[in-house]
Amino acid sequence: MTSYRPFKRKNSYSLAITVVLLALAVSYFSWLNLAGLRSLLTTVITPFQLATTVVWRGVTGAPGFVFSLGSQASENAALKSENNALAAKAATLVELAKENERLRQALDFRGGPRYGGRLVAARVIARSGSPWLSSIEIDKGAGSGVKPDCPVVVREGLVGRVVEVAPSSARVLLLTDAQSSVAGADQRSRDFGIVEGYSPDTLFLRYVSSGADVGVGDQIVTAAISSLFPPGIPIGTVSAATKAEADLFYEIKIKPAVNFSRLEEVFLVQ
Amino acid sequence: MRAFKIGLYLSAVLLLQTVILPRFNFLGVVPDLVLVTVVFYAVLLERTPATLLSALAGFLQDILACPFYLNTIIKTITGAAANTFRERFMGDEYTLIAGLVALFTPLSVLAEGLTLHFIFHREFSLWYFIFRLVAETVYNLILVPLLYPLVRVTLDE
Repeated sequence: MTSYRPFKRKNSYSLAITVVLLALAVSYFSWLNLAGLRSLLTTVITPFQLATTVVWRGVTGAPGFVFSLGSQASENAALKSENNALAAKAATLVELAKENERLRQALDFRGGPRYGGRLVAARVIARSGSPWLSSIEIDKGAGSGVKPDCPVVVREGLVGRVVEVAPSSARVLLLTDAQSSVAGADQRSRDFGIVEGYSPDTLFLRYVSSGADVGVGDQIVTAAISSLFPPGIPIGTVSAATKAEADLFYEIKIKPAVNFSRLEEVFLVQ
Repeated sequence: MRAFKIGLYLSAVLLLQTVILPRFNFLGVVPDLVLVTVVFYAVLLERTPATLLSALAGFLQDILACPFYLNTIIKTITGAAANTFRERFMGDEYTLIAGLVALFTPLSVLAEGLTLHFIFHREFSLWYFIFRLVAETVYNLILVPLLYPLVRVTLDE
């Protein structure tokens, strides 16, 4: 091991100070895309991320692969992908049926397929390292027709929405991020509020008036008033609903329907 | 050759950090491989290359996994500050690196938490914050002996 002795040299922090000021300026003035540089770098890096993801899946899936034939494995993967897409649609059938019933009763049927019929599969290729920044990177971008605010789902429910699009990748803000807010409704009582992210396994349903009927175990789904998300996508289950006597609103805790730490493949609703 | 090896190592670290390590999270906490790498190079290189590498590593980490340039700032400051310690430290570099990782990991978590809370108005529980300070520091300290020989190889001519 090398030993160091103290020595005098001219301390220059100008480079570090310049970089920090530049980063602050770029962040503050919202030049986040750096005139396309960010998109360009993301495009260059995406194939490497994708390759790493594929290699990693190969490594972790190797033991199972040994016991199966190659053709069976690829067929299984295709069927699994198809099954996930179908399951994502099937997950909303309960909500569809309830809505259908309500609409029939009102004799004002205006319903339609929940996801508009088009789900595009995408692979998760990177995640934000920090638990306080809940976002993922997917391998579909503007080239596949992905646009900002595009809803992202899995068969269990809502994942989040696209916030940044590069030519071949996109960044998805997860429902659990503190910056995320979605109009949500109680599937049973139809009371609605705003679902906000808090931690990887907790969401809050806010601004639900204290006179509403929300109980533990109720399913929360996207509300029809949302302009971004199709109605009826599962968000989570109420795990606690409390209110003090003087409170105007409920304090409602939700356990997300989706396990965000295990996302491998997601679907974009287009 | 040395620059190529450092570039290759940095690329591998960034891919590991954003693609593979998040799969090994413990209650949402993952080791900060990039921070450990920044401390290594801050101790083993002169100030200018160390600062440049720190800034580049942080910037690429932001490009890959962060919607703003928080890592660029944190890693640049860490690189410059760790290099200053190195200039004033007497003893073996391994002890210095481990000490600096133990010092800068909680500081970087603290800086990230305070920035997100006060500037971006994000809320998180104090207990989780403290847990992350401790867990990430332990994680990063475990990485030091694993990465030391690798980083040394990248610096050989």
